Amino acid sequence: MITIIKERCVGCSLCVPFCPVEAISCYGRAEVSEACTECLFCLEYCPVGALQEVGFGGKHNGKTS
Amino acid sequence: MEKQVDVLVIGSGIGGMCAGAYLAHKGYKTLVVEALPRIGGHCSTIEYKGIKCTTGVVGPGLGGPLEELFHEVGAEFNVRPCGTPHYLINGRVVELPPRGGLRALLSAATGDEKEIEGLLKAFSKAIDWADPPEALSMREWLLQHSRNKSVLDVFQTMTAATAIVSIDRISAKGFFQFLRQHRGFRQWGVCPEGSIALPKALGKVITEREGEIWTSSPALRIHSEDGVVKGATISKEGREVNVGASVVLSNCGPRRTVDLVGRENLGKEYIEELGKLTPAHAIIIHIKSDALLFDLDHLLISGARRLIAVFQLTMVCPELAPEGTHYIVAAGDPVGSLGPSEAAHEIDLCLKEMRDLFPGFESHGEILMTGVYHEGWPAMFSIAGEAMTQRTPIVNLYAVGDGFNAEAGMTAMAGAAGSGVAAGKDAAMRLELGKRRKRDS
Repeated sequence: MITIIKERCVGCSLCVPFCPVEAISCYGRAEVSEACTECLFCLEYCPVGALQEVGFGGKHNGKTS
Repeated sequence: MEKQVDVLVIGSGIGGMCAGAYLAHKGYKTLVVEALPRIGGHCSTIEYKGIKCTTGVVGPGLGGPLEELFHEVGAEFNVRPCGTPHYLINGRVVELPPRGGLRALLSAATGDEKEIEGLLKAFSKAIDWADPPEALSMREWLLQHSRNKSVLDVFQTMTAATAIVSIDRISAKGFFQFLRQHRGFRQWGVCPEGSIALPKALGKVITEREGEIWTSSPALRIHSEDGVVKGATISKEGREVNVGASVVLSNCGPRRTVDLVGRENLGKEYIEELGKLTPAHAIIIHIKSDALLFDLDHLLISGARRLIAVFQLTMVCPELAPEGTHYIVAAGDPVGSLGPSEAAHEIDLCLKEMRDLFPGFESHGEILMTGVYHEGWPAMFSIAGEAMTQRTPIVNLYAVGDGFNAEAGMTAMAGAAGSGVAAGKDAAMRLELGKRRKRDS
């Protein structure tokens, strides 16, 4: 599933347009709803690397560092 | 994998792209790497529900360092000018005429002629020859000349809309320095294709001169040896690429630059200076509307608690939205340090003010995005008059962007562009010297 790293998210909302199922809302800080299909499309677009996939394979986010 | 270039730019914000285009135009082999899939940073465009939404920049200033660079490198500057600025003061819409603008604004705020004359006199003195003392905030400076809340509100709006900072936080000296720099180009415009057109046009200059732009390619480390930059490791399509470069320009913000170079390589003093940079905050509310809220392309709001300006961008560039719809951006200036819980409250206040001021907002407008710009993604990395220089303790490593334009005292896009051009010129000089030395030896 996709989670938000709270310490990094600034609430810029620039991830919102990239979710094809409108599962991301952002009002001061981004939140991912249960509608998320884990397409991982959003990961790449966060400018501060605050989106993260937490799955069986461990953690991964759009930024490598 | 290995690659060798003359110039490596990390981050494709407008500062990085200006530096890259300048150096590519001078004949240096240039590579720009960008962590995100799109270029431009804050000066970019995301299409959402048919609207070309900005990632930060509403429109560039005309006639400033940005436009000058575009002409110099032969990039297309596709920007359509906006109308004259209008202020909403005490419920009245006041046009800012090309001359005598300040008098017009003050007359709407106060009926006291003596107060207006006093302020105008002090203003021209401060702009032309007498810098106010460093420690005086703009509010304190104003209070010496007026106790009228409406007058202070006008300046608060002017400062927040142009320098993205409140009159409490900016020093009077910094404000007048800023005004001096920006005088003559308060004219601004909107890109019909969205702000991304600008970094794209600069990108074209780079690729036409055998340079490259890699998106989705974050930098992992910047390498230096004996205090001289050597290049960087870039992650590209899952592989690590070692890029050797004579000059590296970092446009990815102060904090990230430190992470990439390593604290130990930059020295305590420089890191302390970076730590003093005060980022500017902003709230940007993107609105899709089937009707205009007022009949101007932009309106500066005086006397509101948060709202600073409303831009009806499709009035200038209808191309930004499907026919029959408008793209409207409301900008707010949040107060104090923004934590996550206050952020929602600040947005609430902005929206409440929108509803109070514009009756059509609730019935016609759909809120697309509510963006808070602060911390790691601020409106600017430094407020006016407090930015740093582009050179770093590492030779041939430059920091560019709106936090690094100390010499010019400019902000936002003009500041970022100015820093890119200044760093580009300095780097070109050093590269030329290096070439000559090689030839001579």
